[in-house]
Amino acid sequence: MTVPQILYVSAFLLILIGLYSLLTQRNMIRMIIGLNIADLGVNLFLVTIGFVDKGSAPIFRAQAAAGPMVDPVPQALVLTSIVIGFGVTALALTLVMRLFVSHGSIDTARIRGLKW
Amino acid sequence: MVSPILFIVVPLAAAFLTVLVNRNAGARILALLTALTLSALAWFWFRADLSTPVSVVIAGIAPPMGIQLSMDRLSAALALLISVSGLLVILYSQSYLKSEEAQSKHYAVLLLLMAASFGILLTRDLFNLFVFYEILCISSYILVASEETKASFEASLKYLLLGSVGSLFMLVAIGLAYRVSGSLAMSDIARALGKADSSYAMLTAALFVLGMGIEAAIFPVNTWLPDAHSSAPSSISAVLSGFVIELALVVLLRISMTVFSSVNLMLPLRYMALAGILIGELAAFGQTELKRTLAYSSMGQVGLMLFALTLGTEAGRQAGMAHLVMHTGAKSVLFLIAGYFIVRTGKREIKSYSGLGRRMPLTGVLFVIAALSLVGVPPLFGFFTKFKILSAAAASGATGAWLGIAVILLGTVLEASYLFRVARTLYSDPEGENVKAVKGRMEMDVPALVAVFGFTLLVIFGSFLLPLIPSGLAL
Repeated sequence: MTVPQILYVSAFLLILIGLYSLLTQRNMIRMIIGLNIADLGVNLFLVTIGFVDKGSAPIFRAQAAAGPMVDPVPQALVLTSIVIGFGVTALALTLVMRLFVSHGSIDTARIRGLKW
Repeated sequence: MVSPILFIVVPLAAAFLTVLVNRNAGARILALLTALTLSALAWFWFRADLSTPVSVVIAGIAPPMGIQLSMDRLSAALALLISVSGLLVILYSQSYLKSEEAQSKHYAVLLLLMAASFGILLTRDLFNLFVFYEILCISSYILVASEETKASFEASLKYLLLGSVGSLFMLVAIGLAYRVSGSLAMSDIARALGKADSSYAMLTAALFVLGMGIEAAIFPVNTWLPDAHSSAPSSISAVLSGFVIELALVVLLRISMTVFSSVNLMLPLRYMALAGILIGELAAFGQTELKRTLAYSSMGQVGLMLFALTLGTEAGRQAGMAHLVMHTGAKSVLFLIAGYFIVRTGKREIKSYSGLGRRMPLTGVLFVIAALSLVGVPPLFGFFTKFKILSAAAASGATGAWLGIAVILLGTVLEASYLFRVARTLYSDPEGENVKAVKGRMEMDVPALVAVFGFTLLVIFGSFLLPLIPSGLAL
């Protein structure tokens, strides 16, 4: 397999692992970790899109690099996506903390105030 | 000419200024002034000649490298709807929010939500859309939790987890689109996807619709809606049900008809809409709490709009947009009044409101008018929009159109029965503990009454706006 193929497969696996744990875990902290793993998979996928074999970092210098450069746009997207992921995780953990204070548990089975 | 970018800059600046002011009175006035400014701006753009969309290039970098904002007739109309309902909701919050709470944060996040809404409408860059969409989502999570009760934290976390999964799917779709087009501008992506392999385009479109459909509350991914909309403070429920889901819906459709025009999304979306109508109205029928009933009803109403917008005819799109405007008015009235019912009685169940219509005569009448319009009773706006949807469906000859008409009529019957049940409770004799709990007149406070009255005007006289409602969903 080529390098991008390996990266695509691992990105896909990371997303699957993340979503699986989000669906099966009852511990809310673990659910958020699952979300973060899936986030990582998406970020890896985005970086891989811009991957160029033997490409150099996309920085312009006085003596321009001879070889090809990787695409900088997906990297900029990933930077934004990481920041958004950080914000969402912080908010989610705050909510879990407040739920723990009021219910004394972080198990979703014990926090069932709202139902269908 | 005023630049459309002011729609994003003004509320964003005001939001951070509000946090700096950090005094209740100051925050209230600042929020009101901002919403007034935005309404004036939106009115200016609504009256302007937009037969060719006005574009702005950010930071002097031409697209596809730079980000393009574009104001067309549809954006101008929705911007007017958003800014006016924002203004009325802020007016309502003046008396609804408890004065001992720190209100500046509440107004700041609300303004942030408005800035993101305008951003979603105006942007023509797919990644920029994602960023504004995230701001919209995160500010809604915060606003849902802002009452700081057990139920609101739980609803907010549920909403956050589902919403984040949606944004993940959306980001993958954006990545796939970038991979084939090498650009993030919507027009470039549309061109590249048209030439790409059809299964590739299908995958991209499906991931995008699934991701953004979560905020638009499209049927299989709308389970967060009843919890979030009923646990939020009522002013926020009115915002979320009134324009946030509708906005996501319109933008989603605009993107599926332009960027993903090579993929036929309309048929599956139409069936998802019908399932949404059935599930929403049936679930609303079985609820005992007023706000949950209204939240489920929003689920059904979104299905109705989606059905009309996906019929594929000009008449269908026009009818869907008209119904959207009607729903914003009617659902805002119902949620805002439900908020005062909860403030006055301290209870959420419909049965505790018996006899309340006599204690709050004006409020009761406004509630009944909005409920009648939502059901579609003749002289009101809701009748015209529902009638237009049905006739557009009959004339379109689209697959599933007649099934859709049957489902809509069934939904209307269910809707009428649960809304009339609420109205009957309001005017029945007070029972049990309500007899002594309810003493004297307890009308809503003046700012809230004025705000609700504003929305009611839209519900009653909205039919005169019909010729002004634009239908184009072009890029």
